[in-house]
Amino acid sequence: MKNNTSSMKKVNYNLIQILKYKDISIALLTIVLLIIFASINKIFVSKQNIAIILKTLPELGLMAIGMTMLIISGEFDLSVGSTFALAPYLMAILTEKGGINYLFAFFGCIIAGIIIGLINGVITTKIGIPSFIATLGTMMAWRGAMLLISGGFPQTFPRDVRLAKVFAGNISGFPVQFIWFIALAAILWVILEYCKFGNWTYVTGGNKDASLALGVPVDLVKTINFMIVGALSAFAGSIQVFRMGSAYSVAGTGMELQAIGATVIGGTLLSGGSGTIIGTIMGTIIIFSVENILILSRAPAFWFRTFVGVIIIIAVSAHIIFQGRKR
Amino acid sequence: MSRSVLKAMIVLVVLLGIVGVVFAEGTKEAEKTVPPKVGGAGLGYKFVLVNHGSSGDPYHAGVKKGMEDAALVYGVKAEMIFSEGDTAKLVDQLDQAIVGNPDGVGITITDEVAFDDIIKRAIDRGIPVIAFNMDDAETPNARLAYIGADERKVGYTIGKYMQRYLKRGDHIVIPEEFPGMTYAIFRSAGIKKAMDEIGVTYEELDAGVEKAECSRRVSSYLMGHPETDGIIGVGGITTEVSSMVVEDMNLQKRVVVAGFDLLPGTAEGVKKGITKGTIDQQPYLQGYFCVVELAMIKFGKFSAFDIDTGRGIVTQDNVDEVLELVKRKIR
Repeated sequence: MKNNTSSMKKVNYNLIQILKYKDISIALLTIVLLIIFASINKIFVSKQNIAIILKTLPELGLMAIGMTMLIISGEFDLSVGSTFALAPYLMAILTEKGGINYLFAFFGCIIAGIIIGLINGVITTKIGIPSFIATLGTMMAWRGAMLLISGGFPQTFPRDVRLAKVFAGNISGFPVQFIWFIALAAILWVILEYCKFGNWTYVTGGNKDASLALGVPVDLVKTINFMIVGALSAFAGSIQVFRMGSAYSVAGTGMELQAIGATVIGGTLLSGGSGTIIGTIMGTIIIFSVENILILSRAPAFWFRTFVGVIIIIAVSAHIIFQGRKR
Repeated sequence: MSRSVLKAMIVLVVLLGIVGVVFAEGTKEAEKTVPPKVGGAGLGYKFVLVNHGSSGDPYHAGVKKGMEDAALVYGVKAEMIFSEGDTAKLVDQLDQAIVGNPDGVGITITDEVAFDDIIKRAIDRGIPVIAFNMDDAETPNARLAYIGADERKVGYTIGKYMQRYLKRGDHIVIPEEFPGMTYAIFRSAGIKKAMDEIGVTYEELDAGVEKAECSRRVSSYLMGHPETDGIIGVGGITTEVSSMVVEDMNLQKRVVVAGFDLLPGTAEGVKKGITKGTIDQQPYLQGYFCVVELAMIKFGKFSAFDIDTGRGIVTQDNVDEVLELVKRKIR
């Protein structure tokens, strides 16, 4: 009897240890939720519905994985929504009004995102303004610049050019943008988990003073992470333009909070020093799946924001309980 | 970070700024037309138009363009302030505009009572006030006239037009960018009235204003409600996105789309026959005639009068000629 009790305790202890291992708890939570959703409504796992989720998920997902890198290094970027709108708008206007080659304009879009990230990084690290305030300022400044250039009017972009097909087309119905998303997420995962820069990112966010003492170039690490999230936001915005055929001034509105939400659901600490790319992917999947299942299941169409909010809190709480953390 | 990198960054910022300004100015120059000045020209009147909308909304960009063109024609100064959807801010902005003692004020009245006192105070001080785009038609209000579409009427108009594509027992969804805002409430009420007449069921959907969000919610709705036969969006974004979603899901033979405004995707949908009709509220005219009426009131003490701008339905038959005007940012 005593042996049985002690072996049960051992199994429980091992289970708790497994759940505490990085992404296991959030992955399990996501799988459990997906199974529940599939049992609620069979359409949830239909090919067409999965295609809908996979087609729209990369836009938020790309922004969120970039945000994860930045939050781990101890900073925020609230200007990602404005970058999401401005950089692709420049691409559309360069091609449609400037007659510039689509590919060059696309690179211009990504470079614009990188420059915006660089500016955020320098303001935060060199002038010393907290990133929350600095990027709140640039969020408004870039949105304003966007309005100055566009006058509020949308700029069309052809959906049928090769560039649009390469980044937002489909292969036998499978959305190409999801492949790009997974590829870029895999690169960031490798950087974060297996490269020196990843270690620097974790220690920079975890303990700035200690990392300085260890010789980690803290400011450079943060600035590079700002540039990564800038580039990814620009890329995400261009995917939307390829998909929708127009760039418009209010694109990306509110996406900064959704990206932070996906990151936090995925287990990244807002205080920095902890978090994973896989967790953020799971967080993004949870946000999209919850909304999707509520509409599929005929939840009152005006109430689902409330449901989504409640389910997000439940998901994060469950994750915290598994991980044994208090924030 | 070394000094050279900092210098490079400063150069890049300046370059980016220059590129932006050059593009903005270039675009403006290309669009600028200098028509002959007529009645009241050069009198230097100063008008302020206070708008509930977002400065980034293409619809309100059209209203602003109309205002700017009329200001050029009549030789007056006109500026537009946006409250980005915040009614309380709109009230404060109107109050501040009147304190500046302008020659006339335009306002989008988004609330039945919140603006009443301020508008009356302005009229008492001799500042003419014209409502544009949104009006308080239900309760007494001192504004002199309304220029724009009757929201309930345009909702009913598009619903009535869509009766030919639907039949008793059909079901439609009404996606809304901002559920609870006056325009959405009144337009959907008009649409529902027209649907009730022919026994079509309906449901409103909180679709959101961000295109990606809107597209996945409309897609999810169509997946979960396969009995849906039609979509009538209450605004520009929902109408544009609905058309694209129906095409992407290959439902164009079963699901008909209609709605409001002429965003690029909507125009494409109309051309392809996916979107059967869209109400063009002619936002350009709302801004244009608001300035014209204010100028005429100051110039010749003329009486103000209502103008209904929401009469046009764009269909496959007339979309091409309208699109030519869209390119010039007039429609």
